[in-house]
Parts: sequence; C-alpha cells; structure tokens
Amino acid sequence: MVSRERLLGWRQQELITEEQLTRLSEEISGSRISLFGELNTLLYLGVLAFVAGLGLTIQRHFARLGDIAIFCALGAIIGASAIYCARKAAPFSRSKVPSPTFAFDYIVYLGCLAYGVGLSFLEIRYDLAGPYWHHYLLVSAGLFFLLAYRFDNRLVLSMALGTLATWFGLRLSMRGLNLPQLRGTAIAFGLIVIALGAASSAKNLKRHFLSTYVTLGSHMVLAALVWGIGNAPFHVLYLLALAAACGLALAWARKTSSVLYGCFALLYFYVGASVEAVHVMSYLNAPVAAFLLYFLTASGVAFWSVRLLGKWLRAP
Amino acid sequence: MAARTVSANLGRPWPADVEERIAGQASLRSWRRAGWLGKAQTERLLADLKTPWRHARGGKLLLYIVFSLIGVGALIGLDFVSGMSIHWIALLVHAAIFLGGTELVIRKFLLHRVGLELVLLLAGLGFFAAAVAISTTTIERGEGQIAGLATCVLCAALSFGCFLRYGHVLLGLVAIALGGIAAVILPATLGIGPELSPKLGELLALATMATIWFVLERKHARSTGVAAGELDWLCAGALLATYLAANCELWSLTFGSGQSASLHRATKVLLYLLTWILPAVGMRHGIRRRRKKLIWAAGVAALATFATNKSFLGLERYPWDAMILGVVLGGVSLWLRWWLDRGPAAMRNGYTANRGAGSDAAVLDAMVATALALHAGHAAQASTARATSDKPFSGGRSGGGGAQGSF
Repeated sequence: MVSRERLLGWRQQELITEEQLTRLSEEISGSRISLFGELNTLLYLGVLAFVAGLGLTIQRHFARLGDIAIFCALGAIIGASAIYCARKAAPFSRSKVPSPTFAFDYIVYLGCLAYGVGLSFLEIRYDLAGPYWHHYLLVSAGLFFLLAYRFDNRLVLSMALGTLATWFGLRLSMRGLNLPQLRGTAIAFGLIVIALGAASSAKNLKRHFLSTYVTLGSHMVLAALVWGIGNAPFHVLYLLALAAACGLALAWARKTSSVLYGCFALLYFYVGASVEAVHVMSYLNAPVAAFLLYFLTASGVAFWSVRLLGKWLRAP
Repeated sequence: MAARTVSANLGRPWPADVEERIAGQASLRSWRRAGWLGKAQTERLLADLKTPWRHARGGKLLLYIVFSLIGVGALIGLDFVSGMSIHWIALLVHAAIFLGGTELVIRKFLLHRVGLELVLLLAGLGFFAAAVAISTTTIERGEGQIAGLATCVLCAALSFGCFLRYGHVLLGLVAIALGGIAAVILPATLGIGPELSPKLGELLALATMATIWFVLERKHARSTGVAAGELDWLCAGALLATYLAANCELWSLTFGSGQSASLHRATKVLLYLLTWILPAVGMRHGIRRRRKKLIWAAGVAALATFATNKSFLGLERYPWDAMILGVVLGGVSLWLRWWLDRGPAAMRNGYTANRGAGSDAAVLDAMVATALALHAGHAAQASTARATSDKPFSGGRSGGGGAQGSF
C-alpha cells in the first residue's frame, strides 16, 4: 500500500489532484471498505445453492410433490423473475449497461437456471419431443443469448455458450462420431464461438462480451489441439496448428494488453511441445535421464519466455 | 549497490522500502482499474515506485511456479537417477544446498517474488523433512514412533523461519498445518492407547491451533504495514485451522471417517458450540478491525457450519436444505446491501456496498469464469456421455442451464 507521506509528495509535485489525494487517502487509511465483491459472491452462491436444492428436491420427490405443484413452483420462479426483469430493466443499448439494481443480474440468472430445470423435467416426464429432444438445447441456447444481450448479463451468456456447446456436441455425436472425431468438433466449435464474438464486437453489439467468447473459444481450440498431439496419427500437424494458434493468442494478448491470454498461450504450447517430445523420446527408447534433461531445459526456456512475455506486452 | 544491501526491515534480504514500493504498484494498478487515476498518470506514478527487485503476480506468478516446479522436480530426478544417496546426511546436505541456493538466487538476481525462490524453499523443506524422518527412524531402530512428530515439529519451525525471512505466506500456513498435525500425533507418540489417542489428538490440535491463532492475533495487533498484511493471512489461516480442528463432522462428511461418533457427549456439545462461536468471533473481530481476510475466513467457516449443522445434531438431511441455504445467503446479501445503502453517505462504520478499488472486478470475472466452467463442463460431460453410449439418447439429456437429463 502507498504511504500517506508518498501521496502527499505526489500532491506536492502535482502528480495527483487534491480530489484524488482525498480519495486515495481514504482508501489507504481503510476508512472506507467496499463489500461489493463479498455481497455479490454471497448472492451468487445463494442462487447456485437454491437451484441445486431445487433440482435435487424435484429429482428425489417428484412423485410425492406431483407434477402440477412442480410446474407451479417453477412457473412462479420463472414468472416472478421475468416480471421483475421486465419492470426494472433499462432500455436496450448496444454498449455496456449497468445493472439497474444490485440483485438484477442474479434474478435473470436464477430465472434462466429455473427454466433449464423445468425444461429437463418436462422432457423427462413427458418425452414430448421424442428423438428430437436435443432441439430444446438449441432453443434454450437461443433464448439465453437473447436474454444475455437484452439484459447485458455475462452469467447468462456463459449459460448460452455452455448450452450451445452441449447441443453441438450431442448433435454431432448422434451421427456416430467417435471420441477422436469429437476433437475436430471441439476445434470447430471453438472457432465458431470466437467468430460469433468477433461478429458481435464488429457490429458494436456488447463489445465487452468479446472476452467471454474468446476465453471459451480459445480454450476449446487449444485444448483440442493439445489432445490431438497426444492421440491423433498426424500429431506433427496438430503441433504446427497449436504453434499457429498460440501465436494468434499471443497477438491477441498483445492487442488487449492481457497477460492472462499470453500465459495461456505459453502454457498450452509448453504442454503440447512436451507431449510431442515425450512421444518422440519414447519412440527412440530414450533413457529416463533424457526425459528429465528435456524437462529441465524446457522449463528453463519456458520460465525465460514468461519473463520475455511480460516485457513484450509492456513494450510500446 | 544499494538494492543489494541487507536491510533490517523484518530481516528480509531486500531493502526496507521494496515491499512498500511493490505493494504500492499493485494499489496504483487497482486504482487505475477503478478509474480513480488516468493512464498516463498511473505510468508516471509507477515509474516513481520502480524498484530493481523482480516481482510477479497473478497468472505470471502461477506460470513461474509451475515451470519452476517442473524444472526443480526434473533436477531432483536427475540427481536420483545419477545415484544420489538417500542417507540422512546426504539429504540434509541437499536441504542446505537448496535453502542456501534460495538465498543466493534471491540476492544475485534480485528476486522478490517470482515463484522460483518459493519452489527452491519447498524443495529444501522437503529434503529437510526426509532427512529428519530417516535420521529419527534410524535412531529409533525402525520403530518410527517419534519420527513423525520430530519431522512435523522441526519442519514447522524451519518453515516458519523461512516465512519470517522471505515473507512467503504459504510457508507460514505450512508451518501452522504442520503444528496441527504434530498435535494430532502427539498422544500416539507418547504411547497413549489407540482408543484414546485419536480423540485426545483432535482436542490437542484444537487447543494448539487456538493458541497459535491467539498468539498471531496479539502479534498482528502490534504490527503495521507489510508485516500486518502477512500476519493477516496467517491469522485467517489459523482461524480456519482452529475451525477445522473443531468441526469433526466436516471430516466425517468429507472423508467418511472421523472421531465424531466415538466422542463423549459433552465433548461433542463443546465442539458443536465452537463451530458457531469461532465463525462469529472471527467475523466480529474481522469487522471491528476492518480485516477482509479474516471476514472471508469466518464466512467460509460459517458456511461449513450451516452445511454440517444437521449432521452434528443427528438430524436427517433433506434435498431442500440447499434451497434454504440459498435463500438465507441471498437474503443476508440483499439485507446487508439495503442496510449499508441506508447509512449516511451509503456507509456504515466505514463499510460500503458500493464498488471499491480492490478486487471487485476480479470477483465478478471469477463468477463469470465459474459459470462458464460449470456450463462448459456440463456440455463436455453430456457430449462425452452421449458419444460413448451405445443406447440412443441415454445420456446427457438436458434442458440447458446446467440441468442434466438424469437430474
């Protein structure tokens, strides 16, 4: 923490204004402590615990509760959430909109989670859509996307992306794809997610959502490529693709000055390269010392790369 | 070179103002994120706080630690492959090399926190633990009765010494944990029978942890600046350790085993009361002294008390208990927000529910990341279940939003 004396020194040198001095002095003295993060965490945990309990209760006691009671309860939660959101929501804007109330984001999230529980129960009990039940996922994902954009809610956006991923995976796995083929699916899905985020950002539509899209998409692509190096027959191609993807991630990190993306790129490349190296050394029947020597050298190089990464990201 | 001189500041290898400068850099960045400072202004102020001592935080620090762990692990592996002796003297020499190496590396490369020094210290501690364990077992001629106790006590002392020297909070927490383990195994070491020693060990651990917490609190009250910040972490850790020693049901629920069933009724009542008293005391103390880490630790302990309350009382657990807990958590959060907002200038006793400069953005990002991980994890699980299933549509059925077909 900066000392009071240093703050006064900065003020004397006119590096900070009088207003800033007052604010920062208040902050360092601990006379004003924000509980914003703590209260948000508590509410978030509350919503998660409530929905988990709701799901468990329905699962274990649906016979005793009766379908009508369950649908009424779920309908009441969803309806109350919808009414609250409709009343309190600020008008739609393409840019970031602050939450109208403290609980607003969590009530939207609660409504969406309750909708997910309700839809699952409906389908399992009545099997309405038969073999086409997976279309529910697509419809749900669409609804979640709509709500995420309307109410500017990143929690619901993450639900939308998760549900879309489930639909994507299930739709393709129903066509008889095996696990290795799902690797390609994961890469395709990751690229689609990044493209969706880029398109949304290019249209100036909720630009602050882009990081959520890129985070999920890049992890899926990079993880699938590393998986490919370990298992696929053309693992060298996967390694080259991983190098290219990590290069792009580094470029993105540089563009957004995000150390985190740079770290992810380095870590994925290190893991991928190590998998390939172990593959080659195993093929050559190398002794244990060779493996250890590789890891000693590679970790040293990687350590140094992290240091260079920091300098590179800071460079003008 | 001024930066290389050993300062009297807490007995650390770096000069007195380095800690303040590094903490100041973090404060400036969080103030910048909060919009209290301009970009160019922040750069100018950061330049004023520049220090030659190297420091990393967040993702970079984590990555440094990961690569250091792999590198040091490989180095030790190479040593073993080349025929390293596992005689206790050889292990002690290794411990000395690693611990001395840490000091050398820190001074030579001016490392304040880059992870490498932490990994080297942990490796040194590991070798020291192995040396003590092997030497005491050898002295006992293989009986191994005091080996565990001696290892825990000596390692706790060394770990705490390293914490005092280098300020790594993790080492302080390791020392506290080892102290607790030493207390647990003490009755068995003293030859008390297997009937009584686990229960006695549990109570002894509780007393030890509570004493450590008390001592740390006293020390914290007399500390300021960086030392107070470090002790704040240790106090929070000691509170949680005391709570863990008190809540025997938590062990039973987590590991399916524990002493809760065999405890005397009066002891169990005492422990039950402590599971309520400890979070309350921690929370009250944290709020009064404005110590967020203690508030967080007390909050986690309070959640654990809610989760284990019924098991303690021998009551049946229902699936809707989680719903009730959710309502309580949400209700407390909303009520606190409402209450704080109605105070003068939206503040009560210095606490506000409005955004601060701290890690608020990080907390919100963490929640989004958790939601993303939960839903993406569910997606992967459902897809894999479907892909590996022979029976059509037999797995991963979901309505979205994290609710699975099988419920």
